[in-house]
Amino acid sequence: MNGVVEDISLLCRGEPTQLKSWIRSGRTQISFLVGSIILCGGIYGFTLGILRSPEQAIYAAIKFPILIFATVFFNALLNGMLAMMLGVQLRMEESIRAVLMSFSIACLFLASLGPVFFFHLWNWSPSDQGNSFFYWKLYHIAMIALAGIIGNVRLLNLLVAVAGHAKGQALLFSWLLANLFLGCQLSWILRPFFGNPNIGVSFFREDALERSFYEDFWVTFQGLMNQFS
Amino acid sequence: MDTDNNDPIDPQYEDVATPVPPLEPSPPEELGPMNGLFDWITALLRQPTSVADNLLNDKGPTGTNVFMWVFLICHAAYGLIMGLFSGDAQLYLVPLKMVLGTTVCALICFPSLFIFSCLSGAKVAPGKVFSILVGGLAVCSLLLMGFLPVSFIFTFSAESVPFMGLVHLGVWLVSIAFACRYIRKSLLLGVPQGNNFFYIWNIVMILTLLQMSTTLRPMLGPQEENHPVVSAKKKFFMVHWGDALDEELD
Repeated sequence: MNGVVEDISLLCRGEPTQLKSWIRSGRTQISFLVGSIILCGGIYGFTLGILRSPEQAIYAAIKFPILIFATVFFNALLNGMLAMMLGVQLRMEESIRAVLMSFSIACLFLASLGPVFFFHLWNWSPSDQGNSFFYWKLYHIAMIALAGIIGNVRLLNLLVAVAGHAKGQALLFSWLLANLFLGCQLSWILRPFFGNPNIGVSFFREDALERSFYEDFWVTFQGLMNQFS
Repeated sequence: MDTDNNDPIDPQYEDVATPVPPLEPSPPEELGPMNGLFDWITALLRQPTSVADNLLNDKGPTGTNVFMWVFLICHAAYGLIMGLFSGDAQLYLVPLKMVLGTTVCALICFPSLFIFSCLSGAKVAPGKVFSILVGGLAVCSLLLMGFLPVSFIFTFSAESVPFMGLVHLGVWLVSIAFACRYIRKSLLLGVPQGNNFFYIWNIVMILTLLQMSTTLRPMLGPQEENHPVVSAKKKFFMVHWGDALDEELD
């Protein structure tokens, strides 16, 4: 197997003995992780936006890796401190590498399914575009959640090898919460990814910084409840 | 009741008392000399793990070329039986659609198979994953050939398109289930703690193949004149099945 394929295979297998060296030193591996997030995240972002229009697909291809890097960057300090507080021997840059590894696995998983997503999308009826948008969004939210779970399961093996079972689990759980909490808000700011068919195509929404993901979620939830009551 | 820890263990409980070490999976049997097509077909059906072991551990010939031909010929043959239901142009169109549709699906699903095999802990090069995929398609094809007489009888006795579709769907589901099993077991060969990621891939592959059968429709009904070989109207496969059933009931 040549270099890149071997790295992909090693990362996805999550072999703790070999991946420990990636966390501890690997400068070349950092470029591999960043490269795989840019490329695979870009491919996946493209599939997210293509239902709306090719322009939206290109915007989403640019924004999806940005979303990941922004989540890693803004949470770097917190993730590093959590590792220290939980007694895990990871320095700041090592915790960044570990989080990047989990996002890289998630992106590889999503990009590998890219041809399947394209094929299923190609078979969607154009007359059903409105409903398609809703199901397309739901389908991909499930896929992103699955990719996140897979990425974190692989990271767990590594953290357990580095810090032991209890500390590894606690650290992963706290990172997961922190990344999820910030990631949702960042995805709100960087929206649209899917591109609502009733709103024009744009890189950012004009009201990008108004409200938050959680406020909007609450409003949607209340709306749903009112429909049922 | 008095008990004495120094008492020797009663021979009838000896098996229970002695901790039994966990059984290690026995290594696959060596494949003998393979002379021609039938040796490979027999090996694939009787000793699938040995075939996979040969391929994964470079122990000898892999049979990928043979399996490729088995896949192409058997799928075309099953397509011919499907085409007999409507006759005319479908006699050559359905075999072509069967082979091309399955090939395209395999290519679409190949990148994810490689990633899923890595996620499952298998240390396999992409080329070998592809060979295992071809082997899986050959298993599916051979089972389709096994069902061929059954499908042939129904083709000449059944009149309803949805019923015939159901028969072919059942036959195909059984065949593809064995193909998925071959792929899963082969790629997890020698992986001590395999996980269930492959089941997700199996679902992806099956859904993609089912959608392909709708994309390339009509596979069973007649090919009407002046109509495109592949329907231009896009449909989700479940919707298509529902529409076909409604038409039949009307």
